[in-house]
Amino acid sequence: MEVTIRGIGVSPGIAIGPALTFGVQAFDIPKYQVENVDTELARFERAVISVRADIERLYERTAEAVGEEHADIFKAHLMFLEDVTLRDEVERRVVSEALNAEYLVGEWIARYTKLMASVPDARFRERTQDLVDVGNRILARLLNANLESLDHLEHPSVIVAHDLSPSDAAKLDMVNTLGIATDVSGPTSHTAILARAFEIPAVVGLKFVGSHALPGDTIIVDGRTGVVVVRPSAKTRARYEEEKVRSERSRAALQAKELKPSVTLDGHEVPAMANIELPVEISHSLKTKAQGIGLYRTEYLFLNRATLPTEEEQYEAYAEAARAMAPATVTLRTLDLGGDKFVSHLHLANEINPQLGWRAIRFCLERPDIFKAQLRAMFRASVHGNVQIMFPLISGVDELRHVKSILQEVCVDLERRGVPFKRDIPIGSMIEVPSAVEVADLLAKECDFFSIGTNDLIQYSLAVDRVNEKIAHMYEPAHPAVLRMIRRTIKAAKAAGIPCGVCGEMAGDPMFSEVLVGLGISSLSMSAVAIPVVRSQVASIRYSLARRFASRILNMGSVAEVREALHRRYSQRGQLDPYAEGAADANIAGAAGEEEC
Amino acid sequence: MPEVTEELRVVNSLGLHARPAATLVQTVLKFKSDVHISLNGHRVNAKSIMGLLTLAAAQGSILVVTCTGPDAEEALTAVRNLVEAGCGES
Repeated sequence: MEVTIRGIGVSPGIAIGPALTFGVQAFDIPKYQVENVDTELARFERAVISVRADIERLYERTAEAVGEEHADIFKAHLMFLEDVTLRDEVERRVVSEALNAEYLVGEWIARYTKLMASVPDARFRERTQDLVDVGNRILARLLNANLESLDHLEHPSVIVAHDLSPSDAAKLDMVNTLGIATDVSGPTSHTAILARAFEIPAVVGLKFVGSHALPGDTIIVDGRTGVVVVRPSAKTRARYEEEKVRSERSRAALQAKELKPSVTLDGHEVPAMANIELPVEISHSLKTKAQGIGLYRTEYLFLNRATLPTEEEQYEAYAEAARAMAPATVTLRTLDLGGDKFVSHLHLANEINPQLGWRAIRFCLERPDIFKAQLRAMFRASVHGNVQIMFPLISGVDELRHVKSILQEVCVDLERRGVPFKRDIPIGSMIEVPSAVEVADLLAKECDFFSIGTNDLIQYSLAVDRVNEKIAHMYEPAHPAVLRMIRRTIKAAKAAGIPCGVCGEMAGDPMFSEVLVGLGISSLSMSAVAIPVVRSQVASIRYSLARRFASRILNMGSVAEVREALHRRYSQRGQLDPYAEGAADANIAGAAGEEEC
Repeated sequence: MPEVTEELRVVNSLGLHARPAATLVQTVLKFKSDVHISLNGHRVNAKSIMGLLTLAAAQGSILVVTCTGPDAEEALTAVRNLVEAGCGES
């Protein structure tokens, strides 16, 4: 039976293949008396040495792929490996009791897991996983067991797991891993970050995929939409095969040819920019010729660590981005934590309704120490390029004014200390709360640009938590209410003479390119891998016709009608090679003809 | 064998969690002396990251540090400086 599960797409692309289910390791550990104590000690020593080499390799590989700060976890693993209690307990008991090393390592793991589990502080308890990870590596070496190996898959497979530890994720066999589907973790997890870095389609937060998929089951992972299909019917499979071929072909064609600028056939420019989550993605963005960073997420600086990042550390990161992208702009978004993202050191309480809770700008306004350090770092970085700052989750004018008064204090402080910075950098408001749409005309008078965060805007306006399996299908960018809100926001921005871009997932979906351009959006910001496709869409449409198309769409009453119209226009464009001479003109002429019917 | 003991207060706001514990281990490993830390009757080897983590020493806890060995004085001085400075954090 075909099973469709919705999660969060964290790395785009479509994967189809056999499921390789990856679970928790369970060892059968023997206990016996050894005959030669010295041989046993040497065997233990060899295991430790090879595990050390493994961990060092993982460290280097991860540091190279996504940066040293994400590889730190392996440094911690090395400390556990070198821990004196391990050497003491194993070596002492091999000598005194003539017991085999794996039995003693097993005892060591059990003893310290228990000790650490009894510690009242969760932050200490969290380290237990590292201990188990390291202990299992030693056991696998001693037992000559292959840890279910992700680094050398026998066949191309889709990895299905409840969760992947950082060690697991770092080992992924990049050649044979077709896609990844996991039950837990979010867009900022190691799994998500690595999948994006290696362009492997991935969906996380599926909750139940681990219990639905059996080893060898055919599974489809659609990283754009966050849909996973287990045991697809022949019809579903054919549909995805077709979509996969099409997206791969267009991607290959796009990479092979010189990239066209993101300008419509009639000369209307809509810059294609990149959303980035990690510094390593700056180089991806430059490769795809992104015309700026439309969304620089700063959360990574605060996640997966025990302490807050310093102002200096943040300044270095922002300055690096500003320098790399100059003269293009880098839009830094202030901390958007809370909600589904958890930071242990900030003591954020578990909330029943985190999406409506203490997060993003609400959190920053209550913690001016954290907020000001971040703003100082951003202002200081401004001298290295073209930086602008935007604020998430603005719900009305009062909040924006409060933010601006803090900005003012930061500027006065920097000035007094003689620190160089640009004072007049553009300040923007994200539009992602329905109330902000309603007062967009008022907000537009008090800031320099808008950026519509469609993911949250859709979730809040349709009252749909997309992580909830039962209602996730109701999350719908093509909902007439969503499109009207976008139009309303753009109108308010235009009236005030400020630009209005989109930085949610909609911006990276080629199906929506024409309607967004037609509604008058001033820039599209998306994950770097989506840029070539979206840019080719923009280059194959005519602005004058896109506007007519958009107004036709706005008059439609149902999601089905909107979807149908979007799909028709999109596939008409897709049938023709956008780079063939005159092809796009012919295409659009056809579409226009249909419109007049 | 010289043995010295001193009481030290944890100043780190998050207590002696993974990062400061790691710094402490790396420091005491440089000395020949044995270094043990006790908290509420629980005594651990300060050369063990796991030992220190199981202490779960919160901010304000009083650690009893005992150094035994040829360089006991130097080891204690190093531990004192480190703990009083928040083990490289604040």
